[in-house]
Amino acid sequence: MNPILSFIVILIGIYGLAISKNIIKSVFCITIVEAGTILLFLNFGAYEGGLIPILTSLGLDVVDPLPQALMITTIVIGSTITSLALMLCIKIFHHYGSIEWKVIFKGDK
Amino acid sequence: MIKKISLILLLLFILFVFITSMSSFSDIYNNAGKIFFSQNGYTDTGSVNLVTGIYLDYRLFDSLFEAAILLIAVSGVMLISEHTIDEKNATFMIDKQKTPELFVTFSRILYPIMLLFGIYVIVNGHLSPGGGFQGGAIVATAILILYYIDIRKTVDVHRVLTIEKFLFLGLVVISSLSFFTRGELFTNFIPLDANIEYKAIFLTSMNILIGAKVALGLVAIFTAFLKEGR
Amino acid sequence: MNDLIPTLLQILLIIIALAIVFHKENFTIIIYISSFGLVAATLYVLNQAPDVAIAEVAIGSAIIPLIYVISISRQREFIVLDRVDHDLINDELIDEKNVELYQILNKFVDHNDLKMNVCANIKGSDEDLTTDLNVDLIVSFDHEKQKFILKGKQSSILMDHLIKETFTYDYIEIVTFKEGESID
Repeated sequence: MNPILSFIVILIGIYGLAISKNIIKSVFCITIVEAGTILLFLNFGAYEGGLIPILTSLGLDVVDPLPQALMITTIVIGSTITSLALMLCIKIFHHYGSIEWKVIFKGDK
Repeated sequence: MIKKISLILLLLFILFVFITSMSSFSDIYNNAGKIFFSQNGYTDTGSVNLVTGIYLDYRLFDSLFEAAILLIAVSGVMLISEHTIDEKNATFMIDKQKTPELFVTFSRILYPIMLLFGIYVIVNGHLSPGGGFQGGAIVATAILILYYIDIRKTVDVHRVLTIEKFLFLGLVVISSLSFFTRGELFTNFIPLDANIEYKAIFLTSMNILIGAKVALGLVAIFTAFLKEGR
Repeated sequence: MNDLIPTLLQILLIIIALAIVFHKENFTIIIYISSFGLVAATLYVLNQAPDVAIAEVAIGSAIIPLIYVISISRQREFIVLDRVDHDLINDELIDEKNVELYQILNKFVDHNDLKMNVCANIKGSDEDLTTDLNVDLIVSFDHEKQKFILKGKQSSILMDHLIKETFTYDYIEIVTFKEGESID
């Protein structure tokens, strides 16, 4: 339940994004960063002995429900951004003939 | 080589800053929001599930814009793929895709069960974990499994997009109905001192609209990918 | 013991993330992404958030890998359109050269890790076909010059490689055009 270990996942995702050689690997690393961020936010809300935020009777000791509501929106938006990026990637392949970053930058006449 | 080492050193420095700032975390975290939600959430919104009460009553504005982002993304994918409706009669010689018989039989058994489970998750959003967004994704997966059964199945994408736009309009209209009964926009249209069971009408109808919108949007995106260039 | 399981699962998440960053084949990373989503959903449940876990499983393990599989498999094909009219050719020499042309194309396609996809009998003008159906190469035969003419896009890097390779053969001529304009 450590926030530090989830922060390490975010940093691994950023490193992979800077190092990647083709376009599809970059889109993979964006997914990793997003999952790490969601885990970090949920770690801030939870504590020892808390219960699920569903009130079956009044006066229970529940976990903070606000970060969870924001994170549901984050997951859906992340999936739509990934699909948009992959559609652009297919179009780039049909125009240039390869999917590596260096070749595309150099081959611009 | 120098670039990789300097990148790793920069990331380690960021990790060090994060660790030193986490040591005083309990001073920063404020408990007032959690206490307010757990005391007033059930009587204000009418839902047992507090998370559904938050994204459908206290923060409806965020959910409306999230539905708008879905609409814009689907339109963007349609524009980039230049997808036209009339079927192109291209016969590619080395492109025979034959799904095994086992997949087809299992898909025929699984399809009604998945559809039923998705509708259950949508409608029971305010009583158990679930809701509009989650159930919409499950219904979208159930419709996509139809592609296993018949790979030549055609989906009329224009009609799907038109229905989706009308669903978004319906979402905006129902959420601004509260201006006339309560005096403020984008909240429940049933007055605050009514019985708790009447407030769940608003929650169920919003969940059904959001679930249908998300499912149709994901089906449209997937159809655009599958028909790209064929 | 109860405190050990979330820590172990988080270390497993870090190991899977490292495997995704450092692997080279694009097609096997999709399975890693799916298992990454499942382990993350388990961690969300252990942090008392079942709503977020349902959303992550439905979207991150069913729909996202499906979209990745389609887009990666579209990028491994090289589509060739054959417009040579085989009924009008009576010369055996030209038939031999036709076979040789396809052997050269096969070697070129294997060298670049692609799969070749040949089709025939499609009507339409050239630039419509390259933008609508994403055809990469059009093969036709010119009777006056007695040469095979290959047409392709100017901005594509594969056409540059193809020009370099077929420079020495005298019965092949390569014409490139910009997308959106026709050649006469």
